Amino acid sequence: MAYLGAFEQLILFSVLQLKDEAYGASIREDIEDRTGRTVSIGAIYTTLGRLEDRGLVRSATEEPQGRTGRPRKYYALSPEGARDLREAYTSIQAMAGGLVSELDRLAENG
Amino acid sequence: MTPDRREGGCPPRLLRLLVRLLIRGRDASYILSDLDASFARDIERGQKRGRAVRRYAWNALASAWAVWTTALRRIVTHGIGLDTRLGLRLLVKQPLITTVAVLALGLGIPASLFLLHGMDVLYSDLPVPDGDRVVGIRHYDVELQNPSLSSVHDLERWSDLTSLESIGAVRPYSVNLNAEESGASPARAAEITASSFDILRARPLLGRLLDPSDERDGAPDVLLVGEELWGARFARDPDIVGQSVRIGRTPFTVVGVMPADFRFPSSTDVWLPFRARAVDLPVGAGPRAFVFGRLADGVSIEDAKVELTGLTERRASDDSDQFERLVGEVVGMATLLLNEEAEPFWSRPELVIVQALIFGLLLVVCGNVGTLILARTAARSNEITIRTALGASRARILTQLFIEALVLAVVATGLGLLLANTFASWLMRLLAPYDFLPYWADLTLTPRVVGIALGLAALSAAVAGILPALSPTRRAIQANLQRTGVRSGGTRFGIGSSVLIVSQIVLSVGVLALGATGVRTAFAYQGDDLGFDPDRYVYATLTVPELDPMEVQDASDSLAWQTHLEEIQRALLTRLSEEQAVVGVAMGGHVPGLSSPNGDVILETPPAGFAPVEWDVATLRVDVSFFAGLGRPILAGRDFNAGDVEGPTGTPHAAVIVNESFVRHHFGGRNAVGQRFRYETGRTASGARDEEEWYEIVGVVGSFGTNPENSARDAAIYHPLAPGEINPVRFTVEVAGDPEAFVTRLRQIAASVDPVATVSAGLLAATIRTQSLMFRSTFLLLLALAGATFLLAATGLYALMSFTISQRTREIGIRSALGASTADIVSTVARRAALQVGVGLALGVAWGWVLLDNSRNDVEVGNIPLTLALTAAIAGSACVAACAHPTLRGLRIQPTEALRES
Repeated sequence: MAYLGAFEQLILFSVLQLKDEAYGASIREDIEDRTGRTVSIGAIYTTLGRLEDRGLVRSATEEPQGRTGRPRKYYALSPEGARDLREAYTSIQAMAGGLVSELDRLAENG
Repeated sequence: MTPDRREGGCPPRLLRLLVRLLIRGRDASYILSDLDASFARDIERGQKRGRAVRRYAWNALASAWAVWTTALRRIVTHGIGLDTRLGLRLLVKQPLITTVAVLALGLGIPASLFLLHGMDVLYSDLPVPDGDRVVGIRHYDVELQNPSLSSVHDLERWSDLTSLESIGAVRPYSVNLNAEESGASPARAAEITASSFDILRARPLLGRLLDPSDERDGAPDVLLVGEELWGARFARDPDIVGQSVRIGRTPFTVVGVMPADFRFPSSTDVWLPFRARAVDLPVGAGPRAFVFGRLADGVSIEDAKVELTGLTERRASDDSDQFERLVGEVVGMATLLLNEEAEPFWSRPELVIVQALIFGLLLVVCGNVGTLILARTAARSNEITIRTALGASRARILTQLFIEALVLAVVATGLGLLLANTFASWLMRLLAPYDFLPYWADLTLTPRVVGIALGLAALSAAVAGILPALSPTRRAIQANLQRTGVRSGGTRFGIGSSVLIVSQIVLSVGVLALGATGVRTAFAYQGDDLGFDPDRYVYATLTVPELDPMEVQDASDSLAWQTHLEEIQRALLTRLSEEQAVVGVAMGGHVPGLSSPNGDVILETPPAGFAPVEWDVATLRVDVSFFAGLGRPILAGRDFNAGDVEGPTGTPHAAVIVNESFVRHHFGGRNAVGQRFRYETGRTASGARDEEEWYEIVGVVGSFGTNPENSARDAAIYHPLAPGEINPVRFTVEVAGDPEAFVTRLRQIAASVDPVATVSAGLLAATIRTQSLMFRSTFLLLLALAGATFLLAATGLYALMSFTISQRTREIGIRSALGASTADIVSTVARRAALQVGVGLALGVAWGWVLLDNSRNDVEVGNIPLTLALTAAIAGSACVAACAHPTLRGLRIQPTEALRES
């Protein structure tokens, strides 16, 4: 299993969430909406490029459809990507099991 | 979340333009689309337009950065590996290009770094711990423009410098070690201060170092010996410490042995205490020494310079006569010991010019390799076009071509460096017995020079790989695709390649002619041309130590030393002549067979109807019994006699003897006895001669090995020499029997005459052979260089012709179909090459003529027109051969085949 950084995991989950509508702007919007973090689109392209080189995502560029259509580069999870993301999520779950309430208590008590 | 919902906003056009400028190709369109969508969303969510624009700009830059870094990473991780493999495959697939390029770059790149590496080696830090902290201190004489060696007074004055943790001095000279037992054989010695060992962080291998108490007057005479000498003369005797050895006549006690890597200051074998005291001497007088020190902790060389300058200026105001023209200098140890100027390499205009010329030549070599690669690139234009059509960017194609050229250049440079390192090791072994190089100079390659060579390899790959590819990759894909169908890439050889080929033919014809002439001259010498058999001779150089300035009380001391010098020289001459094995012995300033032309003369009455040849002549100084001693008959006039050297020591003696060759070249073989001449201004070579003085020829001898490099240019003038006039003086001894055995005997005789005087002796034949080998090597190297240049020119022609044929296949086919004759077709395809060869040969012959005409003093040029005609014929034939194969291929093109391909 290849190591996945936190931002890489966020992007892979977003690609999974967006299904056929996963492209640069939509991924950025999705992460910002769900996490409340401000994300640079450049960081998304860099990470997607790296994930693509590692074979964890696949991309396809679609030419504009119709008069108002725009070109898009769509991304999808590869089986390796899905496997690595699942492993990473399982690891986090295994480590965090039963600790959320403890984290809440610690965070609230300062 | 549909895209349409967010497409209401409109970002500034300027920013969109910026994105198109920063991101080229298809990436730009989808990134712009994403940026626009993000901008629209920001506006829709109520963000102020200014903030949304700033965010757009930031995202645009971040996206461009992401695209570039991703592309670069992909090239590095995927492309380079693939391109390298392709480059390696091309090396094997195209052996001709590989061989020529590897030869050209493999020789060119290391050769271009020769000067730089040489300077690096010579001026490197001493091989001692923290060698860069050890610095030399000296005066520079601004009037004489020379570094001035320091006196003992300077050493004492500079001891006050606080920039230095301590200061030391060393005075190298030659001594005879145990001469009375084993014969005179010089050893390199040095008087050295005890502080020097601490400065150099030196430790003894056995025993102890010298200490300050050894320097006191009346202290026991002690010395240190080097490990090499300990092995050679004392068979590594473990009980050497405490033993007595004799320097000259004085016994010294060995107190320690220094390790083999300690040779300071100049391949030294013996170290003695430095006992000179300034108090005994007038200011500025006394033995000269190298003064040096170690920079104190935290002090830079600049700080030391400032302190020394202040001290020197204060001194100049106290004693202006002595010091006003002297400037204090803090220099590297190599600069100090080599007595060189302190300026760094890059501030010496002459060296920079030479280095720039060398790099210029390397650029020519790269241009040649570029021509070859252009032909290869042109042949692959279809591949390039198709790769472009499949989505490869121009940068990607250029990267591929660069990496292919880089593989070639790196392989060539690697092989060249390997060869250079082997050559350097061989040269060091060859030169080791002569102490030709400073002991700290290690000629083998340094990481710095390897790094620069690899940098040059990358630069060469850029020049040879990218430049020729810029044009073929610039064309529109569509146009190239159309041409692909008719086998025409549209690439052309420009005027640049023509100039390159012509200039190489010119260069190679001239240098080939000179190289061949030089090699012929150098190899013509077989030993017997010298007029004597050098295998029967031994030579020896006798050096009597100069008078110690501390011992000079008045003029009578100098006179006594002069008498002593004369007596020793006379005594050795007499003793040698009395030896049973000696057939003949002579004394002089030179040894037959080991001199070269160095002067030119003006005749008082030039012979009518004969134009003297303006060649340099050898000017030599010989004892009055020189010719008799060596059994050389006087052919005309008389031999020297005692009257010829009468007069005060050092004044020129008017009588001279010349050799047959001089008479032939300056008098057309007529009687020269009684004729007078003087030397050309500025061309006098050896001492005791005045350029205004007229000299009279009193005799003529046979030619006698005055110019072993060129036996046809051995005109010589012999000036008489009285014993004691020069020091050192050389003895030539003709021996019956084994000359090698006599060398040992000669050392014993010299030591019995004076154990203090040093003698270096050797076999004349071996030394002449070494000199001859160096001379031959120079011309062989020149010939090899000319050959390599010519090979490049011929290969360039071959590439040009091959390329022309492949470009014009269809045209040739049509011409054949229309009934064109063989001559027509040859004329079509070979016209340009023929023009290049013709112009190249014509200019090459002209340049070769100038070159040979100006080399008359160095080589036997012979019949210049014939030499040049032969060279041009050989070069022309090779050019025709280079063009023949592609032309024949053109002639074999069938009309049907060519038309079917179109």
